[in-house]
Amino acid sequence: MKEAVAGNAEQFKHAFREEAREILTELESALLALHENRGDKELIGRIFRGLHTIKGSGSMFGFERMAAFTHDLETAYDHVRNGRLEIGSELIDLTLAALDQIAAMLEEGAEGVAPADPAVCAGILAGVRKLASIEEDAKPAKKSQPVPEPPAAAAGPIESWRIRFAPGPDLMRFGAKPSLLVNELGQLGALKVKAILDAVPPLGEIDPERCYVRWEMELATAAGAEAIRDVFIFVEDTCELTIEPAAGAAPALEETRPASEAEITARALEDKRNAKPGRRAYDTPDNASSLRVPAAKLDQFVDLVGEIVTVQARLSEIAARCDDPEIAAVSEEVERLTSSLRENSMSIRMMPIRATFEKFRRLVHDLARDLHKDVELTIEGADTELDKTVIDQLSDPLMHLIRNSMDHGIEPPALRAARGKRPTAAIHLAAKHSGASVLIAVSDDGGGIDAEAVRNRAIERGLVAAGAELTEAEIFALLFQPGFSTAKQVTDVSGRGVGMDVVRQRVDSLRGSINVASKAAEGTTVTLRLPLTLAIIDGLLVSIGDAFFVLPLANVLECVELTGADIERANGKHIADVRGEIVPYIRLREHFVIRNARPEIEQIMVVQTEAGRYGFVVDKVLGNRQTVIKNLGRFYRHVKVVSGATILGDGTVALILDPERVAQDAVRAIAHGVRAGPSVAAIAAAVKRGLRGRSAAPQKTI
Amino acid sequence: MGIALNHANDASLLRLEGAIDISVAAELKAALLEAMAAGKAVRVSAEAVSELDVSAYQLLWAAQREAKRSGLQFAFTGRLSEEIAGLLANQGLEPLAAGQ
Repeated sequence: MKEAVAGNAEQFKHAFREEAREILTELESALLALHENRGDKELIGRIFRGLHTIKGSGSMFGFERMAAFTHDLETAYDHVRNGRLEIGSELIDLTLAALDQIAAMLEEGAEGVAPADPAVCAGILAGVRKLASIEEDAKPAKKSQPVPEPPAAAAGPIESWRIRFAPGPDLMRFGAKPSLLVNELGQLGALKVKAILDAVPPLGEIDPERCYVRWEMELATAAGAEAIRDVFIFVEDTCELTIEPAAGAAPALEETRPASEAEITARALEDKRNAKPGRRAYDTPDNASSLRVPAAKLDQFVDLVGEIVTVQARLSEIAARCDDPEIAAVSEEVERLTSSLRENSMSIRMMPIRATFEKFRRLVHDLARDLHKDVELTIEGADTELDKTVIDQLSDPLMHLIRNSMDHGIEPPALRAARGKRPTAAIHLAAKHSGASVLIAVSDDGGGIDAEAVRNRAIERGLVAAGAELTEAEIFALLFQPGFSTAKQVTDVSGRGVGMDVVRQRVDSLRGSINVASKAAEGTTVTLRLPLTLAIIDGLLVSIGDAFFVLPLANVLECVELTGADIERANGKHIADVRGEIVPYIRLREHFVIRNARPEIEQIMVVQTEAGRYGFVVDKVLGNRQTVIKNLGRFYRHVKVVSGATILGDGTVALILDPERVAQDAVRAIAHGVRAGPSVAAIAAAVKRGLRGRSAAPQKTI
Repeated sequence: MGIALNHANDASLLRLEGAIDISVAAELKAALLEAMAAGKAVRVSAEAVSELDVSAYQLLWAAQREAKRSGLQFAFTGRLSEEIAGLLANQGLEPLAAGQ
């Protein structure tokens, strides 16, 4: 039983950690916003409440060190809130540093996390105390002294609240203690507490771990309903809680006097705030409408959906062979359901990129300070959603790009002034959807990339031949080669020639591409094109001879026939006339060296790529397929035109093409006069070999 | 730390020590039931208790209520420390009957 209790406490601690992480992120962005806008009362209030929640709930869940550490910070922001302390860069920087330590305390014991440094913590506290003139031995407000905090009094008129709190059956099991909740309420103001034990059953029937006691309380405070609700933040989901203004007739704690008009209005406002969903999701009464699920469970779920999609493909295949209307009907129904299931599971994994973007405000703030540059970060399209797995892997590359922009891109203030630029440099992060991809751009208004310098450096390093003719795009691509750095000196920030290589590797592993655009003295934009999802896509299945390919449906515009007569009309040039529009086409048969006779009538699939429209010529178009993407093994990672493979209903392997890369490859092949793409037969054979001996269940990597 | 029940001639003696909280609540319930079942006066010594949470309180409270109904003597021989008594009062929990 003891273990069960401990297990639940651990579980609750875990939930607290997750909540606290969110609060920390919120605090960080509030602090950075405050940096820009010193006088914002609302921001200061948010910071104070965040710190207060971390302190209060932290001590409740056994993070005493964290609570003690946060105490003085909270006090400092209390002073700020009251106008007794001016907010300045120093306090903001100290608080940011403190948040890092709090985060470290939160994760204590977790692998790979540096523990909070007591010396650093002491330094931060000393700094905060000095700024806020807090005495060293000021102790955290003790439970035995329910003195209403003076700041609370200053925040508004004192009002009486009636609070009814009935803990859920599992409250105690989770390790939460009603006594601590009551103490915390006591800190908000004068509190009258009455415990009601009506519901306690006869001794023999008591479940010893259940809380049968409920509480009725009256609190006179200026803190407002939201602050009261915040006390219950971590137990609200599992308890019954009503917070209402004590009616004028009820024996209020303060002297009875007719309420002034202002107070009535204030009360009504509080009431309204109380009734309506508050600023956080869990303020809503129906907080069961969203769930927190471990990411691993989601991954497993998506894997299973992938397997179902594969099995469904087999079923469709069998149904088509059987020619039995009953089986056909069932198979169609299963196909329809699988398709919805797939869409559903994918949408669960989609997350807005906001959190990742917001995280960089801190990086930019810190780097700007260290580099003595004035930089402003702007964010666009933060609501753009993409697959969780993609988001998880985006942080590193974006960080390297931003560091690079800050260090190399943005000029020192003097040079900016000489160039007649705005003293505040700009870094812009943007995200938007484009077909089945997401475009993520990091732009700066810095000095731009010196293409000539890059070229010379590449020649110096032996990356390209001295006389090589390179397009600008090719030169910029060199930046992402391992070990390449144009920085004259290695700084703490970047220049070790590691960052850009990391970006490329990560983007490659996500099957994305990088595009660099730069203008001397005007700035640079690096755009990452990434697939929306890594798991299952809608694809168009086509065949050439006995080889099968899948093209992402999102890229395909239409299919038209290509007859011998058409070819003749174009004088053998690889150009088709699609309703008056000239579309160059690529014969995949030739590109992939598939040696068998081509049919009389071929099909052109008109595909939209970044470089424009291209036709891909294939033998047959077999139709839409839900395609579970399997990564190619590491031996075929270098084959860029193929972004993965999938297994068809009858066990055949189809290769998933990356239209962008196929088009680039073909254009390059024509430019350089070579004509051989990779041998797809070899890849398909290898994929098949990889499958042999495995269970029917598809594996993630083939 | 712990719960010990001794049967004397005229009374059942329940000695509580250390943190009496949810982790020992099941034990406390069993001990209280056994003490009540003996049909003799129940004496609880609580002066060595360092912590008493709601789960423990509601068990003692229920036991006391039942003793009163069945005419059984139920009393605390050692007082709860002032700190704990204060903590209970803060939570609006009425004091458990003092020793007689």
